[in-house]
Amino acid sequence: MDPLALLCNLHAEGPATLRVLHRAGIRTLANVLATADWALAELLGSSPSAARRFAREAEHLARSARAGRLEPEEGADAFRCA
Amino acid sequence: MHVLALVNQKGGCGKTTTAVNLAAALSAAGERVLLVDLDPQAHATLALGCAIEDEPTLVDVLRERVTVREAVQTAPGGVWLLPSTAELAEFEEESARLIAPERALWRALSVTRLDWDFAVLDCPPRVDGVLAANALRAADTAVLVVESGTFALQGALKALGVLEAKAATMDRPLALRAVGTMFDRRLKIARELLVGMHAQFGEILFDAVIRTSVRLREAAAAGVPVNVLDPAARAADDFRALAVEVRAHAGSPERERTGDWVLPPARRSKGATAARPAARARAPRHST
Repeated sequence: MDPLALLCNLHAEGPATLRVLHRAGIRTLANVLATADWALAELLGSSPSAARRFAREAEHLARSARAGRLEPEEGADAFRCA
Repeated sequence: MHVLALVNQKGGCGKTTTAVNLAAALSAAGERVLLVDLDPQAHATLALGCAIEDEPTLVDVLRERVTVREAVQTAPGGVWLLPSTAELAEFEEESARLIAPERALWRALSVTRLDWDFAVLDCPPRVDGVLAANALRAADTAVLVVESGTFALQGALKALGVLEAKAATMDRPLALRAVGTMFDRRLKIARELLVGMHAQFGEILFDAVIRTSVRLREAAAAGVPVNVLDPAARAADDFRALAVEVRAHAGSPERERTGDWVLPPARRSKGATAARPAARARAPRHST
């Protein structure tokens, strides 16, 4: 499974989101991170805050992939609350 | 014909749902698809609303009493179905008296390879019986169906090990792929499991994940694939995405839907509850 597909399955509408991103030329997690929040929000049809969250999850996945392991989903919100 | 065997030794992981709806999605993409119900529980046959009375079924094909062409039925979703009944369980016992019983399906399908582009085999929930052996012997690709539930990953890894061992003993290549099912991204356990599957299976895991959807249950109850019941349903979209990947995996070319073509022996199932789509709108790829 492609990491971008994983991101779309975990945090968006799966294949529908993946198709939208592919059509916009976004094919990797790095491409997501390089996309402005407002542009991502427009593509996803979401609010800027939802787009920022999507980008944040992309960053987590990219970081996990670089570290050679994939972390579970928990953490981000709990960390902020602490 | 590319033969896909949907396997897992665990029951209730979505094998039949995936087999029925993937077959219909492939058909909607212009492929000629044969769905083979290899489970004596006959859930794929029931899920397509087919009621079997005295028609020939898969067990008759395996016993070499009829050919595949004589036993197939047309079913909702533009799929040809090789149906099953509980009698199929008897083949397991009979196999002890047969020579190479695990090759029966392969022999039967090999003479009809030009009739369909894909054969989707819905396997019983065990990988050590003669029916599963038939499926793996006939298959070009074994697709491990993994639900997004507790202990699913451990079970799937064990099943993958069994499949790899079987593939290593076969005299022909068997590709291994995996697909996630029953995914509900609202559940933390499901998200964690998908991340785990991604880490464990890597590239053999299809990008498309089948999400939980009430439409899938409704479609099975109505005896039709989900893309017939509600083409706009997210489950229908998931299976469309899976079909795109399966076609790419099989090296299936893009085709145009032109002309009318119907497999000669196609017979309308008596119990089918939904209208069959318009005549197969594509010329046959092969001429015989």
